Amino acid sequence: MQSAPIENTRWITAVRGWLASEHSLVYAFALIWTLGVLVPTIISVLLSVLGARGVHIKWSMSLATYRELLESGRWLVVLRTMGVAAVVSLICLVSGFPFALWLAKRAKSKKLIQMIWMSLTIPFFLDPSARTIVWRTVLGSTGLINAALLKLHLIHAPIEWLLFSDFSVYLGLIGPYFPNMVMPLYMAILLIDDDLLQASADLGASPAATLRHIVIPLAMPGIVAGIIFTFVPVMGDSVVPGMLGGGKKEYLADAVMSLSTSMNYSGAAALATIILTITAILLPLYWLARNRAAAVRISAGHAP
Amino acid sequence: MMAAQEVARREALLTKIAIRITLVVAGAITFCIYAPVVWLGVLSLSSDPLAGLPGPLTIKWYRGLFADQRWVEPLLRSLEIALIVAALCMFAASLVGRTLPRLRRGAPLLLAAFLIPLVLPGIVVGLDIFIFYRMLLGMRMGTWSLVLVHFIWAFPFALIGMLVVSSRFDVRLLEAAADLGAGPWRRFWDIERPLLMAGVVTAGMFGFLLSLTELPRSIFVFGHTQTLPLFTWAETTSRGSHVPLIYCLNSLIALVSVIMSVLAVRLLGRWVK
Repeated sequence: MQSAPIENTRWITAVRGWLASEHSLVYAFALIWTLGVLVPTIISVLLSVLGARGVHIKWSMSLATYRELLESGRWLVVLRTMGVAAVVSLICLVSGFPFALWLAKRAKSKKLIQMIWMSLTIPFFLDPSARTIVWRTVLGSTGLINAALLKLHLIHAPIEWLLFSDFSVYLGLIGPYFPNMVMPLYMAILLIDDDLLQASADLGASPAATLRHIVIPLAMPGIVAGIIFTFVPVMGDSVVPGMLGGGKKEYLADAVMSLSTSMNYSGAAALATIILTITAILLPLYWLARNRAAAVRISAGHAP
Repeated sequence: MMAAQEVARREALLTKIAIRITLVVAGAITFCIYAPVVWLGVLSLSSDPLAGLPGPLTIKWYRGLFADQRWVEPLLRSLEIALIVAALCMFAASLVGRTLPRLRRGAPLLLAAFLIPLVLPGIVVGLDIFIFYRMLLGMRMGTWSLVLVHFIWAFPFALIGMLVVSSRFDVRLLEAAADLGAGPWRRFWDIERPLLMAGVVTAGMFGFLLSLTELPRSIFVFGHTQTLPLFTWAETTSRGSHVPLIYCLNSLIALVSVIMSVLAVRLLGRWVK
């Protein structure tokens, strides 16, 4: 009987100590995050094979949703959107890589670097539909460019392909997603030790050879991350193709939204599942690239 | 010997040209980001905003904001949600951000788990949150579902902002304080809090701004609540006559965004060398 209170206090102290330790709080938050966010964000995988009537889930397995996707030709929408996302990613990569290289290794002025970082951060904080709708008044047949060209007598009829075309969709997408590409590239290139580049040059390698054998392999994690950060979100962009594409072609986000507006939630879930699958395929490539970059570092005598 | 010099000179010249091209291309893309925003501001001051070339300057559309007040309710709702999201981001980012760099095990895995929403497209997150919370759990959609999806979107950014500061925090300061007899609370309040404040403030600003302008996730979970981006989206896609008002409203929002992100990046800039 005497020992009970002592036992009790010891137990309470242990619990209190565990609760007070900051680590347990983080693990608790991680648990909430997993159950409240990560599990729900892959729930569409489940719904796409279960099917639904209205907002009620049908608890029977079937692949009917995917059959419908094939038969209705919606899979072509997936392919078309993937094509657009691939081209946008490629343009961002080709223009972003040298830029990130310059920013990480050549840019001297700290003020300039900070200004560039600022200009790459602000796009995340702009209203997507407001900044997209303005392109219409710039590119439209009575828009700024056409009006200016007509006034200068450089053209006699408005250029029609500027708006509601593939051109305007690409133009609208490249700007907002450029920072997604540059930021991971910059981070990866910043980690490349200047000594390695110097050693390569001292050993007689041309800048092109250094780029090929040192910079690109070591920057590969950044390249892969940049592609993931650009390709996947562009595939799901819900504003630009709708507003600047002119409705002639359907894109993935349009399809997801029109399916869910018509309460075909399992169809929308199937399309979301496709995006999730592509993401799941791309993500391991990042670890692969990271391991390979680490191997290159070690073989160069540079332990990470 | 001459040949080597010649090669070196040619390489230097080529590098110079390559850098020029790089900067011109990057500048052109940056122009594509900011030209629409600047043009939005110009059109909001133009008397004929739907014509190609802007007419004479006027502030009549801004005056119109007082006449047509349908935007007030969505704006208040957006501010309310953004403030809640900002508070949540400050709390969660400090909780996770200050400890993550000190964890001995599992830190990379935890970080990856927290950053995953960065790579998920907004419509996937919006749809899946709707399916899980509305269809599976039967939750009502409205302010709190909007807070949830905005938090999912903003938390990774808030965490990164916090980590920029907290990963440079010297843990030995806490050990020294403990040696001098400071308790856990004093150590937190007198040492960690002031040193990590920039990260906490940035986390809040990121949360506020990302929530204020969030659209793709909101589309699926708003229920009967209308936020400002949803209002803008509805007005712009319906080709209504209220477009000038949308220009005014969003010019003001963009101005707030730019000022706040300049402040946030400058705050973090002191920590990034």
